[in-house]
Amino acid sequence: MTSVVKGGIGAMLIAMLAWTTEGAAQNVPGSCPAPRTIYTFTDSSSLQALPGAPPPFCRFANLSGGQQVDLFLGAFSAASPIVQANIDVLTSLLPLQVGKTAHLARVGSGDRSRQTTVQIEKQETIEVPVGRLACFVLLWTEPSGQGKWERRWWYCPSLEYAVKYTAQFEVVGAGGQPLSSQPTSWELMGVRVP
Amino acid sequence: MACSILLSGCASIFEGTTQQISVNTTPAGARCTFWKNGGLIADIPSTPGAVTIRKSKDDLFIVCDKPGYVSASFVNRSGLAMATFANILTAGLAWAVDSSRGADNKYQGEVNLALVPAATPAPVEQPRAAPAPTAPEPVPQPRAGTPAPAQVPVAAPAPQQIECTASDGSRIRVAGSGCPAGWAVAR
Repeated sequence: MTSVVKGGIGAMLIAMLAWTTEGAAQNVPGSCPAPRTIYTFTDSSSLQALPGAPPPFCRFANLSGGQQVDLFLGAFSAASPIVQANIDVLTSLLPLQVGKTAHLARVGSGDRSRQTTVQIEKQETIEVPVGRLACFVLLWTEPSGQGKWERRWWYCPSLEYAVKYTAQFEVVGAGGQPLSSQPTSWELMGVRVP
Repeated sequence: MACSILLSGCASIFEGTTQQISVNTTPAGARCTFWKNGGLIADIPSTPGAVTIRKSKDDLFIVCDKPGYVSASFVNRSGLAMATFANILTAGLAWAVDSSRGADNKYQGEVNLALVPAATPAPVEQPRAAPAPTAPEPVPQPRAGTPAPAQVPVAAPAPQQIECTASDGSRIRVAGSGCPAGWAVAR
């Protein structure tokens, strides 16, 4: 029993070492899921990988609504003005390394005190319905009004997509206590390989 | 939304030191809270709706939530001709905000927010249609005149599941022809 446990821990350590040394190398700009791969999420929505997106984006069709979207790191839409205006800054996050931060210039505002940032917050192995995955946590912080939005994507290089997402708005209340909006989240539930 | 796009001054009602602010969301039925200086000052239990608030130089922050949709926020800045689009296409999660113009010490009188379904894995430009049922499988239909057997479930064949591993220690179950590129079948 003990040897089994030690063996399991050893395998886990080897896997973690392999991840920390290889994880960044898997993030090649333009590397996308194989076309026709389908990801299904806990809200019953599904995306299908498509070919043809200009690097560093990957193209997906929303099977529930039919729209196409080009995404960077499974999170940032090419249709977004702030992404368009900061794509060079965002791609500087590659190869993904914990601590890297991208400071995004806000479209139409020169107020740096209210700057939106994207940070590689940490590496984390998480359990989601589809399985257990080693991921980088991308933290989007966006000052807004009296508070801020915090959005997190768990981007997994091995799947070239985010397998979990959370979003929450936080504001400091009149009494100094933090107030948060109801968190929103989803997780990857299924993968279908063509 | 068309109202505010086409008729920039619609629906604003100003009375002295107070002002009515109406909020519409697409879809309707969202709960919206109004924040000023970090404090909750008003709420609309279900959109469309309106509140009357005291005008001041402080920015007004509006957060709308609806079950199944991503929270949308909007900064209604006092005294600015154009509102700040708090959430527009940041990550693309809350979508288009449009409204009429404000003026000194006024807030925008009408705020329109289009909510994006929650758990939408990718930012999309329009609310999605109702999700299609997943993995539809043909279900045998009883012949005419033949009563369907009661309490006998018709089980659709489950798609083949494969356990896959990656070099980083990840392990997932997938359906289809094999493991994704870069993955190996787990032993």
